[in-house]
This record gives sequence, structure tokens and C-alpha cells, in this order.
Amino acid sequence: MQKPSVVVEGVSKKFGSSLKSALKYGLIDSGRRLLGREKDQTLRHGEFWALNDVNFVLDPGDALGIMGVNGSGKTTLLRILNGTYSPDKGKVTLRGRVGALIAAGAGFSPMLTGRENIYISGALLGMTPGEIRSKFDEIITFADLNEFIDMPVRNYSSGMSVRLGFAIAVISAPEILLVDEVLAVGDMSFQKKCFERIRDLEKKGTTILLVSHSPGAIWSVCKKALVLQRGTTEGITSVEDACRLYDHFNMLERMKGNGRRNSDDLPAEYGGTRGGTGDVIVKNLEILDASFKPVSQVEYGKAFVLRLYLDVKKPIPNGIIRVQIDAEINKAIAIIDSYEAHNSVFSFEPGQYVVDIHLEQPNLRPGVYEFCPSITERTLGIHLFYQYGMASLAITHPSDIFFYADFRASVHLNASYMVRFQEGQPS
Amino acid sequence: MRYVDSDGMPVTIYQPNETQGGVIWGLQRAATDITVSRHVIARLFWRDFIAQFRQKLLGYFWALLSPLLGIASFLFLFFIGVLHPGEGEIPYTVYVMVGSTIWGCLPGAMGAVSGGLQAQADLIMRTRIPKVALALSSLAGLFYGILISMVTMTIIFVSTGHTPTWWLLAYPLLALPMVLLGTSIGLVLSVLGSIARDLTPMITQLMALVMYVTPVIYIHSTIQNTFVKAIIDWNPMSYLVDVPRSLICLGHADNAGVYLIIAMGTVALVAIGLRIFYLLEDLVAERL
Repeated sequence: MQKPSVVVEGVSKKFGSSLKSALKYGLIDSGRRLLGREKDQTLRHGEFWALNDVNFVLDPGDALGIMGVNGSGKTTLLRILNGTYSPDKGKVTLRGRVGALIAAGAGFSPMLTGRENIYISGALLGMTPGEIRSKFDEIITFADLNEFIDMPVRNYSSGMSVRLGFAIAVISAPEILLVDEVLAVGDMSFQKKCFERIRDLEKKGTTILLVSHSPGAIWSVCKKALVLQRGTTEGITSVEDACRLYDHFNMLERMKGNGRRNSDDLPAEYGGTRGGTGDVIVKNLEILDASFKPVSQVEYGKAFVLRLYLDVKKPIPNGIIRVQIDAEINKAIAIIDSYEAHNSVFSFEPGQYVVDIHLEQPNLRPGVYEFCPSITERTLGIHLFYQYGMASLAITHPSDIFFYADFRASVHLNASYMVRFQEGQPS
Repeated sequence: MRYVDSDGMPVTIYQPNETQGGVIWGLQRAATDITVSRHVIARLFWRDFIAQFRQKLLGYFWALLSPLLGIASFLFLFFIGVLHPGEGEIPYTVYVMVGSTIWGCLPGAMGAVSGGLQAQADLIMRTRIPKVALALSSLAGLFYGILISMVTMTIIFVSTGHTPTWWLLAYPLLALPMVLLGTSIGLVLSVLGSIARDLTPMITQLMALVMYVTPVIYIHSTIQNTFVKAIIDWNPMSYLVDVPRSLICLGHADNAGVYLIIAMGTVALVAIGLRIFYLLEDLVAERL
């Protein structure tokens, strides 16, 4: 039975939330240790757990993706694995030589040539002078810098410099490789080469830990992954499940920034987030699930209802109800318009109204969407009321479809594929 | 903790409170870390040494010119008559030059070691090089400076019509206690100075004051105030400066025994400095 290459047992790490508390506790901890006492493993005022009781085990040849929103503890975990930070609780056991692509380009001196920097960076990555000499040609071939290798690094383009750093790190062939979001370096051909190299290492038994914000990058390298959320994790899952969970946490995080912008002011002009003539006001927009319960998230493909509460002040004989849907990056990705839908208008007398708009088969991809209601009059070319971002909704990942291609896309179109060999070509 | 398992595979374990050994443990750990990192220390020194002379008109000549310019101010003050230090057995020019060169090893080592971690913050955050190796790697530059200062001292001796004794060849060894003292203070400052950023400048200022109660640029016998005289006598650094200087200039020295005892004390201080360094080193990366 092969021995595991990475064992993480109950690892926790805490930090001070301000420079003041970091100074205070730094001095207190220094005093404790100088007096021979152990680390204080309790959480003190002004501290937080950056990692809390993280556990996982990896075997040689495993590739683990580590995902999480900003501040979830990914980098802290990677730094503990790299020996930069010491855990406050728990234990990390690494079996084999550890290489870190986070160290790519570390220690480069711009005044020295590429050749000279290979020897420096190689030494910093734990290679002996003999190892560096034996891999020298492989490094410059991988970096594709043959003719520029005796040029000072400060004259390199940023891409050349990064390629050289990456080549040194990746050629060192460790048993455990820590990668932090650095696969997106160089041009597309170089990135392809990097992915291929990492796949080669994986096949040869290197254990890979890849931290990335890109589900696509994780999915292409790793079969399993873990998602960190505020320093905690449920453990290792399939990469598809981890991508879904990461996307879910990511959406919740993004929704925090979507505050309601309701106010009593109703400027009679365009250009703001809210405006109108005052003839009608949309007092509230609720999002309900199929059983009419208010929700803030709905699974992809499930029906939901937009409920508008109208306060009509003056008669509106030819009213049109419209809701614009904004995605995070692209605005107005869809419009729900009563006239477009039914070629008809509504007549409103002054009073309070409730309008339900049923969306039976929404094709919105996982993401966060804002809903912007407006009321217009068929015979008037202006809005009687409009408001941006009155409500927001997160569409979550379904269990049967794996959305990973591009988080910027908002609408999913069902498509069928037929591939055939083009006639007349040599086989 | 690092070891090689029964399959010949290196195993690394990270856990809290793993640096709880004693003073001897600290020395052993430092010896292991430095041995493991010897290629890195050599490469970092080579990198910084080569890079500082690139694209310069005088190139490697700066290695000699900089220390010569360093003592020019003292000589200038002496020749225009601002300093009246009195005349002893050793000509004043040579006295100041040798004394200040030896004294320079203390702030030099202290600054190099205490600033070593801050200067290599990027490497601490991105590589697995033992921190003690990064802290001590800057000392390579100091030892190179000591060798260069042997050349500058010879030049001054010759240009002032004097002859140094053969003890000049032992200068790196004679200055070693001063380097060790600076290293021990630097080791503590490198970790504590990362937690409280004003600690290193405070101690650096204090050292500048300590120089005035050490016979570096004045002659001990010319001091009249008994209280100041007593401070100088009780100041161990007086002996670390005076004994090597006398040996180099005159070939003999009083208080050589005291010097040896203090020199052994500096070795003990380095061991204590290393112990404190290892106790606190993991607090550094969190505060860079």
C-alpha cells in the first residue's frame, strides 16, 4: 500500500484583524514563547480564524483543486503547506520534495542575465548546482529563450521573464507541487505547454495542489477539489461538485454587495438609479419560488415569480409593465415586457395593486441577477417609473448540468451537436 | 521537522510549538539549516555582489573605493585640527582607521542580520528556504567587506609610512567576536523587529551612542572624567576594539585574556540569539 504524500490534520491558523492587534498579540506571543510557554490556541479579541480545522489526505499522483472566494483561506493553506506559515493547531505531513510554482521567478535579479538567474532561482527552489546544470538546456528550451539567455533579465518582456521563472520551477520535478493561480502566464502556446507539463508530472506520481479562482483551470487539471469558505471546508469532493459549491459561495458573496436602493425620492429625470413622473410607484419587488415563498436563490431551470407592489397615484389607461434583468457584467440581458408578451396594455385607477409575473422556464445560467422594474404608458414616450436593482436573485448550479465555461455568460441555450468528417479530405 | 523515512523519501512535518528545544538544539538546527541552504546563501551573495557592480563606470573598483571614502571624513577632521585626541603609541590616523573598521563590524553584522529577513520578504513568502539562512546570508557580504578592509588598512599603513604587524593577516579572526556580537543582536532584532517595526532603529541609535563610550576614535588614556573612564573599562566592546587594534598596530596587547573571555561570551550570545530566533521565527512571515 502506498503511503500518502500529503496529510493535513485539523490545521487551523489565526490572524489579527488589525495592525494594532497584530502588534499587541505579537509582543504577547513573543513573551510567552521566551518564557517557554506554548502557543495560545484560543481566539482572542481582534483575531479571526483564517483556517479552522482543515483535514484532507492525498496520495501520490492526486491532483487537488483548492477553491474559495477572496478571504476564504486558500492562500493561507498553501503557505502553510509551503512552510511559510506555521499552523496554530493541527499538523501537516508532506512526504517527498515540495516544489512551489508560487516561487516562480523568486529571487530574480534584473541586472543579471537569464543564464545567471537560472542558477539563482534553481538554488532557491532547492536544486543543487549539479541538478541545475543537468536541466539547464531543458529549462531554456521550455521557456523558449535560447537566443536571449545571455541578455539581462531587465531587458526581457514581462512574458519572457515569467516564462523563464515558470520553466525553472516546473522542470525541477518535485514529488509535491504547489500551484497558485500561475497557469495563466505567457501566451496560449506556453500555457498549453504548462498544462501538459503538469499533466505529465501528475502521471509520473507528483501530487498537485492547485489554487485557482478559475473553475475551468481546476477542472482541467484536477479530479477532486475542496472548497474553503471562511477558513472551513467540508472536505474533498469531486471537482464538479466543488465547482458548483464554489460558484454558490461566490454568488452569495457577490449578492452581499447588491444593496437595495429604495428611497422616497423620485426625481423626474433619467440618469439616476430611480426616477419617474410620480403617477405610479413600484413600492416593492419580491421574488417567490413556485410555492410563492420569498427566495433569494433559485436552482437553475426552476420557475419563479416576480411580484410587484404598485401604488398608482393617477389613472393610467394604457400601462405597460416591464422588468429588465441585469447580470453582473452585462446589463439588460433580458427584458420581460407585458406588451411584448401579450400585445396588450393594463388600465390602472388610483390604488394599490399586486402584479405577479410567472417565469416558467428561465434559462438564466448560474449567477447573480438584478431586477429593474419600470412602468410606461403606451401613448407616452417616457417612463412613469423606473428603478434599477430593486431586487436580486442568485441562480444556483443544478445537479445534472455542469456549468463551467464562462461565468460572464448569462443565458443557457439548449443545443444539439452533430459532428461528421468533412467529405473529400484525406483520411 | 524534517527527516528521511525508511523508503529514502524526505518527510516534512509542520506543527505548532515544534521549536521547543534548548540552546544547543538551536545551534544544531542552525547548523543543519545553513548546511542545507549553503547553495542558496552562496547564490544570493553572488547575485547581490555581481549586480551591485553592473552598469557602473568604475565597476569592481567600487569595492575598494567605498571603504576608502568611508574613513576619509575622520582623516579630514584630523588634518584640519578639529579633533584633538592626543597621541599614543599608535599614530592617530592609523588608530582611527583600524578602530573604526573593527567597530564597523558590529553595526554591519547587526544591520545585515536584522534586515536580512525584511530584505528577503519575497523569498520568505514564496520559497521554503530556512529563514535563518536568509537572515545570515547577508553576512557573506560582511565577510567580503572584512577582506576588502584588510586591503584598505594596508594602503593606509603604507601611505602614512607605517608597517602593520603580521596580526593584520589574522584580522578576520580578530574581528570575529565583534561580528558575532552584531549577529546575536541582529538575530533577535530580525524577529522582534518584524513585530515592532521601530525596535531596530531604536537599537541602531543606541549602538551609535555606545560607540562614544568605546575607544574607537579617541584614545582611552586621554579621558579625564573618572565616571566615563569606568564606563569604558566596564564596556566589553572596548576590549573587542582595542585588543585587535593593538595587535595589528603594535604586535602586542594588554588585556588579551579579557578579550578571549569576551570572545567566548559572544559565541554564547549567538547561541542564545539563535534560540530566540527559532522561538519567534514563525511570527515573522505573518507580519511581512
